[in-house]
Amino acid sequence: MEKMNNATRQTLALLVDNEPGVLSQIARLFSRKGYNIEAFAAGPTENQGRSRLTIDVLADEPHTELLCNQLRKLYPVHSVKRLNTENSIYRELMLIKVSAEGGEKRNDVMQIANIFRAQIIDVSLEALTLVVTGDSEKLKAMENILKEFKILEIARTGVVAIERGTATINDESKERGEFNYGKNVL
Amino acid sequence: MKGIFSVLVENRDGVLSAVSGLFARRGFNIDTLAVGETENHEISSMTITSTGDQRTIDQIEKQLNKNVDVIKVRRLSESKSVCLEMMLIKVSCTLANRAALIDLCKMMGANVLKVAPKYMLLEYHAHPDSVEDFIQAMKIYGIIEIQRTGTIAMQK
Amino acid sequence: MKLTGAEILMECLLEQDVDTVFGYPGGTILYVYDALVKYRGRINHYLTAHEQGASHAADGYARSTGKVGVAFSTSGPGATNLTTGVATAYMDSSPVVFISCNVADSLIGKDSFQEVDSTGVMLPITKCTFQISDVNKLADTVRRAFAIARSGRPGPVFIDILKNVTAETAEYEFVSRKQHKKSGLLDALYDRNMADLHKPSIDEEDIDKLIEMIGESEKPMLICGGGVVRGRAHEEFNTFVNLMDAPTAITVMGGGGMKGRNPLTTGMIGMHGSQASNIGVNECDLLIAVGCRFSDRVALDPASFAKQAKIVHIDIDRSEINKNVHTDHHIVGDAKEVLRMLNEKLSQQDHTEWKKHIFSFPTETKYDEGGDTLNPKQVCDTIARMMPENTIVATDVGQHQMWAIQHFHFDYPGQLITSGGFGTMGFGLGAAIGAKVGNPDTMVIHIAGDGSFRMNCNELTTVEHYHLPIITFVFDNRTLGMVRQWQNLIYKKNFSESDMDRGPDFIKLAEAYGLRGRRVTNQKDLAEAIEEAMACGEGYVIDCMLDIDEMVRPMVGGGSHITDFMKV
Repeated sequence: MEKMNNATRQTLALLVDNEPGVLSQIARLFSRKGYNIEAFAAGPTENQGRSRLTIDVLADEPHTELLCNQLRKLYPVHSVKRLNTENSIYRELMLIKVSAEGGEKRNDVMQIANIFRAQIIDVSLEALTLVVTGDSEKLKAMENILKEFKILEIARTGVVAIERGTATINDESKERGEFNYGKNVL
Repeated sequence: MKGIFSVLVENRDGVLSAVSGLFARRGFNIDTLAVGETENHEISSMTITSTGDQRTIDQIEKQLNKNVDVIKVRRLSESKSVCLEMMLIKVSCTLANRAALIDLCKMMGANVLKVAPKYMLLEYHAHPDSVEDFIQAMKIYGIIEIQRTGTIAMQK
Repeated sequence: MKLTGAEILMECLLEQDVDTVFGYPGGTILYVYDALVKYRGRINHYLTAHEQGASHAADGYARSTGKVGVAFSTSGPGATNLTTGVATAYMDSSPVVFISCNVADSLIGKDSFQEVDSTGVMLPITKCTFQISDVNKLADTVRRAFAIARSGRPGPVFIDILKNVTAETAEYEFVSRKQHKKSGLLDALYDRNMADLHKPSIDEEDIDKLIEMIGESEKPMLICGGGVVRGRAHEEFNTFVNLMDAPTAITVMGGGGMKGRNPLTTGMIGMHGSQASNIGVNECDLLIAVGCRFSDRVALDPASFAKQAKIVHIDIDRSEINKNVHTDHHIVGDAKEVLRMLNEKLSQQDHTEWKKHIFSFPTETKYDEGGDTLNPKQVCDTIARMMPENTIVATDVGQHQMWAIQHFHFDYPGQLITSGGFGTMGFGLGAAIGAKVGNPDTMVIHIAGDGSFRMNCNELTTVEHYHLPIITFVFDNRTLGMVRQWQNLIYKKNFSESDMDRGPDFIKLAEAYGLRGRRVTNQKDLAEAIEEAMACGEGYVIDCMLDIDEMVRPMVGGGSHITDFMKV
């Protein structure tokens, strides 16, 4: 996109209806406006009918705001909140399968796992599967070190983030009320 | 039945929309969806879980394979794979029940990320079913907010 | 009461006071058409020549009556034929519920005959889409769809019903529209607002701030946008304009949002806006836009648009705020309510000097009079002189559309029906049919260009069959006038593929459809033709011959500064 020279990684948290097609609709909005989604995580919440998403995109400040406004307009979107490293905690989960044939190699991998506080969840003669959580930097660092032993496979969840303090995505605000106005049925 | 798809895709805009659209078209709800980077920045990996009958899940697999941006599709069965999910959860607590809550977290293997006078921020990762159990356990204290990552899976 | 899905659908339409449906049958929607027979008299179905015609008719019906329009189509090509009409309604925020049936449950997703992912196709061009695969959810979903279409910022909603659902039976209980809220049927919609189920209120502080800004302003300017029309806030807006004593520009979609002959109006704004409007925007110190989204045809260059002024945006849709033009203050709310609150607090302003300055610029385009040929203004003036004042005007898209909006004076919402946002050629005749059906006692005319008319003239068959006395005026210059104008001004007179030097003969065409028509080349013939058309009580086509190089004046190039008038 033009005018996107100051693009940084932005994290959005969304609360949406848990219905068929909703994810597709949201994903479509990003692609229509030409944003690539860097990471995307969707999971159910404590409330049955709702899912919560964390989406990472590369965008600059004004475009991010515009994007949030477009998202808020969508019918199944209940709330959109922008999160940043100052006000929120970020975590990601990674599964990583490393080739480790022979006792010595296996020991080395296990030691590295210890340093990163990773758990070993599966052991076979040829490979070890580790699980580790942390912020993106930590996962990257561990991945780099394990490259020494052949990495067979990686699966990552994408970043999830949650605000510090008692503020939540459900909080009412004037802005939220204003967005509801446009789609209101009362 | 539950379908778990592990899908490697090109990392460019529009792909997520196309993939999620395949499910929507058949009126299928995606239960969880996790998109993360892989060791190659050009490629993303998606893990999608959905519930439906055998035939439709088979068909979705075929349609996924047909999509030009999809590099590889794999169906994982729960028994032969490691399935994990992580959750960040904010739970309200008081001075009186804080110690008990911390003990419970220890017992269940949750990490305490932050302790404040009125709430605690926890991280928990486990099999999706256990995550569900953990949420039930936390309901007693009062859940302020939850964010789950969706399931990721890897063949054993 | 146990009813089939198709019957439940009919009952739900009755709950919504729907008595008119436009549509076209086909394989998957046959159960619905089967049930339609039982409801004859209570639900009148108008069979169009093409699904696109039905979609525009439902849209025109909605725009002219303020009620929700309804259109039916079958699956596959039926649904995709609707899409142009759906997108047209979406861009102009028109409340229409489009109902299509898809193949049965057992065939869905198998690339069956006439199957398409209708909801997927419609998703980006509707306010909301639903696919119904369970007959027990049919009634509630239809209720939801109507509520969504008409509330907040109105817009089209698409419902896709699987064929088997229309045949299956379920328990149905009548619930009147008023009770929908209370009975908890719209639960899902209400918990959007969590515990308290009230409409978000307009912020008093925002109103007070605007009143303060108005007090400080010496050169205020107003814009009347489509939101005033959709919100039926014309009376409130008129009061506001008079209290403000400020020049007021009207957008294409805003036509009818205020009295067209109010001496405070500067006419149209934007690409073909009057000099008074465009210069006013460029020189004012406070610009208050109501229900206007500052599209590229209005703001042209968003960076320089009213840069010197404080811009205040009143809109029902929060996502429009700061989307195209950066604003200094905004009020989110229904135009009617916001204006009512403003009018209560606003004292009478006086801006005589400023008005004098702005109205020293022309508000309307001048033409050379005389000669034995027709010019666009003469056609419009003759029509306006001979037709009743409340005549509804439906237009197609192109030069004739701009001329009609420049020269007619619209007095009430729904009097002008035009595709402003999507610019759909071929919109007019369908829309006129919808408007006539919705307003049988009001004169309805259709203003078309020869290009636009050729696109969807098949709907003349609908005009004839239902005896709808719609008069079509074809502004016939034997070219795609607007394309030619651009080629003339921007593409160095390279008239590529814009000449319409071909048939059909519109008069013979009208005759083939069982209607009458007349070709006119001067004012006298035009007046006679209008007289004849009004007397005949049937559809009538008047082919008005214009010069091929006639242009819409004034004109500002796309993306240019708003006062950069081209030499036309």
